[in-house]
Amino acid sequence: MYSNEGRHYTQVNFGYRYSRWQYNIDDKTLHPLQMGIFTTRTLDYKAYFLESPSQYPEKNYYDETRLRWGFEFGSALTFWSTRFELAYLVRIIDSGLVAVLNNSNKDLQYYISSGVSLRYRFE
Amino acid sequence: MKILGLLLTFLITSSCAPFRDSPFSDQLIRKDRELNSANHHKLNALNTGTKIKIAIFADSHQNYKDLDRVVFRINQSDVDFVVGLGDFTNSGYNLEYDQFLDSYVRINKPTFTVLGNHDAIGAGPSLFRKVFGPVNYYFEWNSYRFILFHSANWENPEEFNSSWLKQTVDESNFPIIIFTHASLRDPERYFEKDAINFDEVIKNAKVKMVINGHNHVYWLGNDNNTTLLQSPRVEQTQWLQLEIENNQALIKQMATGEATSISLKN
Repeated sequence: MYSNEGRHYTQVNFGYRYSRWQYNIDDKTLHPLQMGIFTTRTLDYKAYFLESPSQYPEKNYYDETRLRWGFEFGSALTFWSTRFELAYLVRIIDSGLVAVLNNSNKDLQYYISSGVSLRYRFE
Repeated sequence: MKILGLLLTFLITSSCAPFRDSPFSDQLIRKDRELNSANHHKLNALNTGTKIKIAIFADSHQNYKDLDRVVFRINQSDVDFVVGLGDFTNSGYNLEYDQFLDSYVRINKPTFTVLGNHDAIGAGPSLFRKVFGPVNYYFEWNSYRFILFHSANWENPEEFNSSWLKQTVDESNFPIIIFTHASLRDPERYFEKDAINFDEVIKNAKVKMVINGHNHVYWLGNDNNTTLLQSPRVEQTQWLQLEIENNQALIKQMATGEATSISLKN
């Protein structure tokens, strides 16, 4: 969920993560470094689009804005018979990658963001 | 040992990462707010003379290296204030606004910004209002009225208002210079009532110049004795310096050194 001008909207995220290492601690498992890719898509179809809406002269007047992708890495701890996973992640989205390549002031705080997630693992 | 190294790397880089809920939200990391009115107050503190010098740049999009070079050169100049003509983002995302501001706030002179069409998509209008203030704004200084007009009618129709521009021109007691992103004569965007309003604005005796960006190339023209000036994009460190004194204007293309002197309408 995110907000824009006080209204709340939903975004849907898909990701694939790879853990090279894991360490068992009692009935928990630590994955010290997960790496992956993700996509994020907003369900606000009014403000964001895949093709430029009809008021624009061409469908590619703007690049699509509804869907973004990026890279992420972080650490995760699975517990409760590995059903639940608590993770801390750092992400950089594709627009941020372009900025890193073009920008001489590489202030990382604008290009990457962090988050905490609680996941249920369907196995 | 390798694991420890990787973990340390992660911990170090993660400490630079603030929380941002989504690229689609109107959440900003930077705390700059109401910059247009704040810079108006700064400008009012300056002494006025017979000459007005303005730096103008446009359409930086995500070309931050050239933007930084333009900022560096503007800071070495003796202009009174600076106007950015919009399109400082590609898609109006919050991180693009933050990234632009990182360069923008380094300008050491009062600086004003107009909303561009790219800045007005998605959460752009909300972000712009947070950072810069109202999308339509005017200020008076040194016996001129300077109008910053929101021209992105397709992208932000709720706040687009050609009647506001006409009214602000009609009510002025001073000669006027208008800054806008898209040209007021853009035949793709403006029809009927809006085209009529813009036609009356351009023909108004008080309007000396209308300055726009959007099309990325330099252009200078005359429309019913009103000077129309189009700024190039910042690529290749392009920016303009406009000097106005006693109804004469000198327009300098700072990347090439070319200068054009014109008489403004009486």
